[in-house]
Amino acid sequence: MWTNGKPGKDELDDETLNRFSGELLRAFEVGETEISNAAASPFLFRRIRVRIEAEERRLAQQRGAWLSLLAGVKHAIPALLAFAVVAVASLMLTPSQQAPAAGAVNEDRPTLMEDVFSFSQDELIASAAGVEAGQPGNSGGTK
Amino acid sequence: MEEIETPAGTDAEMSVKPPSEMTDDELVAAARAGDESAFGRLFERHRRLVSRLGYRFFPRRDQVEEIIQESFIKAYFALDDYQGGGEKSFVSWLARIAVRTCYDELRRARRRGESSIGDLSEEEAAYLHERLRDLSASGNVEGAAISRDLANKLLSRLRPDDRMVLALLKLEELSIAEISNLTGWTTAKVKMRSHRAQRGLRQLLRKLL
Repeated sequence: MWTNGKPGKDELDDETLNRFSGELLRAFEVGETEISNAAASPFLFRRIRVRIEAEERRLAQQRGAWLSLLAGVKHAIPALLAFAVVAVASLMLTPSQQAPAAGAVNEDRPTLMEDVFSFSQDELIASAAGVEAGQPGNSGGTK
Repeated sequence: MEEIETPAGTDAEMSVKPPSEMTDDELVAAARAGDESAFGRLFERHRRLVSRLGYRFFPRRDQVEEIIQESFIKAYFALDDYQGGGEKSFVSWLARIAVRTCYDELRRARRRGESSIGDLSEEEAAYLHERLRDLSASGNVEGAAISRDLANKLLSRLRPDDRMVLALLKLEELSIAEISNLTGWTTAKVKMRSHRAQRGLRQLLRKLL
């Protein structure tokens, strides 16, 4: 009945529906009395005041929290500065006290090879000769 | 007739000029300076405007009262942004805040899924169906025949921005330019939403049949 695909019928339907839409919207309208009653609701302004004050308190607390944080940071600034100075000073002084002498690095031997270097040349030759002769080598070297 | 709740100290603190004679801009300046009674006076003057706008979008009194409260609280905290000027400047400024508050609340309600078409009872659907058939047959239906609650359930199916434009256009009878000014949207956007809203409402009504 309402829409059957015919153009003329569709236009009529749209017109009808537009009228009904208008009625629907007008059904939403209220009288002046209702508008005034809602506006003059008792304690409405007081409730607004209470909510404004609550919001102001909340904002003040928020501001207070930030201010206390800033104050904390402000108090910490001298301590942080002192720490920074000490840190920089120690960084500048430490290398000059512990710097090895030039060429010292090349004289260092790796720890793992320390035992090998502790053998004398004769001991090493004797040990090698023992292995070739089929005798098990003494780990401490043969005398 | 209308009982006005007067904030404490309203009259006493306005020594230079009686508050009733002060312009909105003067009251705003006083409120900015910390005079609470000046804000109370602004509230008394313009609460009906906000109430009327609230009823364009919400059917229940408690919802409208909430809109009034929310709008005036927002206005209070935005007083510093008010620039003043023309005679109706404060009214326009406050109306913008109220419309924005209504829009936000419509969006919230939609997110919460309140009042969808699914909420229509069988009786309500049958009633609506009957009214539509009557309208088709006789072309004579009074808007009052449809309960506001039912109308709200149907209108809630529209997108908040569409509903906003439709209400301002059809109920408040504002021009496209005025709606544009009130919502902050461009006139092209308002026109587009107006067309979309009307088409959406037609589709919604068709779906019910």
